[in-house]
Amino acid sequence: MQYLANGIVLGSIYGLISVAYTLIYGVAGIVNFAFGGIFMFGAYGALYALSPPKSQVTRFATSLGLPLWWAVLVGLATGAVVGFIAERVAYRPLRGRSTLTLLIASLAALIMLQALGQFIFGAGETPYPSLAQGKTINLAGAVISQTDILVIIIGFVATGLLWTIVRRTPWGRAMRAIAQDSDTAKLMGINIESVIIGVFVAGSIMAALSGILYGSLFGSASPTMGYTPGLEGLVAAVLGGIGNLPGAFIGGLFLGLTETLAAAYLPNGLAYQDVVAFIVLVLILWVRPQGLLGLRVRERA
Amino acid sequence: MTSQRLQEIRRRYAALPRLGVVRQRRAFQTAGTRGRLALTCVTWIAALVVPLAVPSAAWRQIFVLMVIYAALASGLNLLVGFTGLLDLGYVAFYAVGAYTTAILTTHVLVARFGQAFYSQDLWWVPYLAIIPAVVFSGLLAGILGYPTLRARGDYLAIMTLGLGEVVQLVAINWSGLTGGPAGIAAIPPFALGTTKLFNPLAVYYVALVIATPCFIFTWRVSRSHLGRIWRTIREDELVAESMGVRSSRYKLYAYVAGGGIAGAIGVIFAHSQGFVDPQSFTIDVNFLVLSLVIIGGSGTIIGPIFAAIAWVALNQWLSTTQLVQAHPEMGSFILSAVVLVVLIVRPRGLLGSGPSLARSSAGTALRTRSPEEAGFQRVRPTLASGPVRGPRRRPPAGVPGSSKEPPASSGILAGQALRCSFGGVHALNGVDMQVRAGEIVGLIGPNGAGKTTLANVLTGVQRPTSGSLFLDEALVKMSRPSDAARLGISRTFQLIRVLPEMSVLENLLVGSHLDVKRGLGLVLGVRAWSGEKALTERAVAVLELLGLQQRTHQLAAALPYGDRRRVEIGRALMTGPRFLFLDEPAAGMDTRETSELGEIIRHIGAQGIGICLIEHDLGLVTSISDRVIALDRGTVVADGDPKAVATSPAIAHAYLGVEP
Repeated sequence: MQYLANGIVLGSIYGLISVAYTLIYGVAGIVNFAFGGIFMFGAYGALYALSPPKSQVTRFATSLGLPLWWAVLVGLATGAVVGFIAERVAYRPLRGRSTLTLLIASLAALIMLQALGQFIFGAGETPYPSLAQGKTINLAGAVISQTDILVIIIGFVATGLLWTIVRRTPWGRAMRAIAQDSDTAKLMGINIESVIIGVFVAGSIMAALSGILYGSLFGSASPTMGYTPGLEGLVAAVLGGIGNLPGAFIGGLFLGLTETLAAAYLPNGLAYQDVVAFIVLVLILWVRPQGLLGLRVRERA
Repeated sequence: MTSQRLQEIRRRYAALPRLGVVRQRRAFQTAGTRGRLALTCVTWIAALVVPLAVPSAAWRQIFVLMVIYAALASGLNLLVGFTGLLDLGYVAFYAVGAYTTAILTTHVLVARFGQAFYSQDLWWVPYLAIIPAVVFSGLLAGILGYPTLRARGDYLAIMTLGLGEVVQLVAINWSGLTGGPAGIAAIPPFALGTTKLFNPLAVYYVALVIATPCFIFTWRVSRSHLGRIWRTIREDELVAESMGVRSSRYKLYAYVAGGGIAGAIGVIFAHSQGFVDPQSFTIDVNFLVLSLVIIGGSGTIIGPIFAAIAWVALNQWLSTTQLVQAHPEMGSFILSAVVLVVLIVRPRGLLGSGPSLARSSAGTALRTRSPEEAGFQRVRPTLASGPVRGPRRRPPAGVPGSSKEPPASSGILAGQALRCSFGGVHALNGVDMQVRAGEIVGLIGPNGAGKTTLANVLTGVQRPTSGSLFLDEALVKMSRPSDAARLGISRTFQLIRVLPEMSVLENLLVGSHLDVKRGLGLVLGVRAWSGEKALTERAVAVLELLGLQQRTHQLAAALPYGDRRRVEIGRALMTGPRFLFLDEPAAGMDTRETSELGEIIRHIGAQGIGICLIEHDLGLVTSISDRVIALDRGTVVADGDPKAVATSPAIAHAYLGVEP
């Protein structure tokens, strides 16, 4: 039961990044590895808004000392800005180029962001405050902290919100039109560039949000903290059938559960936790090349 | 095309082996390829001489790294540049090679003999370790490559990324064998006799000797039939399959070749560094090697090598700057930024010269395709330069192109009760159809009648929902287009699928896949070993038949529309088919082109090849067909004499809605 709860919490975080991946892949056809970096910038943004970490006092002398929820907003804004810049610098000049070029560009962006993170925030780990203090709850034998509950709620709410936007608003319709046929969408008067930049910002906010949640869940942040969750989020997006928003979130939950349970029940499972994730991925893609819930495979090779 | 002209062509074809095709040879090297050739020579001489002349000890250290990254990039180029298989887990094969030799030499040798094994006349073992390293990494490449065969593009990239991570995590966690996160230290250096090689220059030359076969291999493969098949798979896998290529197998070959090279290079790495640890094989390294391939010029031979040298030098220079010494992370920041800038500024990579000819030629509707994917090196003309030596594999019978046994006039391809449904749509609803050898069957019907689906089913592209196929009254199963090609059934496509960035001749040679001799000639591009001279002559003869001899060395993308159609017919003929399906070959042709095409088709049919002609041009169909089958909404509504079918009430109903 405890593992199940932990799995869902971890899965919600993966789900959020996964949603970000899927959104951008669906619309712009880019596997945006840079989310690993945006994740980290979001987490640090909120951290600095709250209070400068002790070890870094010398470089950032003034504490913004904002209240918690404002700090979270600053973190999200940081993520949005970084995402915006990444799109402008790394992806827009390469629009319409091959999958391979875009993949390399996004890996380059990830490495650059991580390097920048080390440069600005220092290489080591920084303690991260918890979003919610207070008592833990016992639920059917599982000990659940309030942070855990918050993570799950935020995960579901944010994904639901995004899905509603995509399904119900004109902006979402424009996104779906671009995803299906960007040329036709352009002919119908949709401003592709502005929609894509919007999608990048939205995805980056999701990534930043999951970064903040991840930091507060595990109580620490580091410049490379986004790397593994970034990969896991990508795996989750693929599991859910890349391009499919709810599928991506479900893929995240599935992956979180699989990993936690594998870590708990397999011999030496903790060490091979990530191996399990990738093996699950390979097996599922082998059997269903379009992902678990994927209906439409976009062939961009 | 008049029949006098055909007569003349036939006469010339008969005389071909005597005349040879020397006249056809044409200077093909462009400035770009010549420039690259010069660069190759300069690089090799520089590789031998320059390290001797470098005074700085720090710089002498890095030449080994240059060799390592150049060879890794070349190996990955086989996968990415040639075959179009993204691989974000390539570094795993490199890791396996390094760990193999590390485990072998430390756990086995040093544990048994101590450092004394040098004096035990065992100093050559590290060199010999290349063999198991290549075998293991090649084997792993085969095993890892297999499940990814179905995926393409981004999915493939993510799968390979996952597999690369798995290998790294195993290296971290299987401490007993791999030393865990700390890795394996104290790997003995290379040695010559009892002299251990610690001098970086000596190590460099050893590395060069080990890596040179890898470079030569990639260079030869790029000029071989194997390289041509890989490029075909990259450009259009369906075409490759239709020409009889087992594409999955050839993709696996690419994995194994690339993986094997990485394994050999891993040995260099392990013995030159003296240690291996999981940190040496992270995705960053993979990103680096992949970037080298792309920014150097994916698909070129010298490009990735050049990029590797430039990168290692840049990295070394950066490490001496103040900024990077204060903040090592900024080194990787700057290098990534450089990669990004090169991607933006040089879409084909630093040394990739694309066939700009194809792009600038007016009026050719190119398939949209990114330059990187297509940015491979143009291959030397493969036209034979002299009279044929040695026997042909089989004498060409009848039509230039039919290398198979002379077609039995009794040959018959038949489909029985074929059904094919897509969701709720019944594209074929119980169709019986036959094509006999030497017969031209016209297949007509309104759009959506199921003509192309029928052709797809009979050529193995589409599996029927139910129904059976018979060849010469024997039940046959075709699960892939290559099965059909192997049975002697070839085809062209409704939407032209020539390989735009290959020359016309190469397009045809792809079609000769089934007749290329297997073995080293296939891999090393030695034409005498692969029978390619004879095949080239056959291709030239086919081109003459089609009136394309002037186009032999032009890029297919640069051809006008009608000629591209003919190239596709020629390519199908090169497989030596007994049955040939032509899917709307006259679409978009003018009257003159259409009538020439009719002559060609009739001539092919006269050689005993059974032809199924799918066409909307009823004039063409009725004038050259022996029999016409009309389809409407998935069923045969008329079958018989062309004139009778064309005037039958069923046709009027199908096309015009007139009640019969």
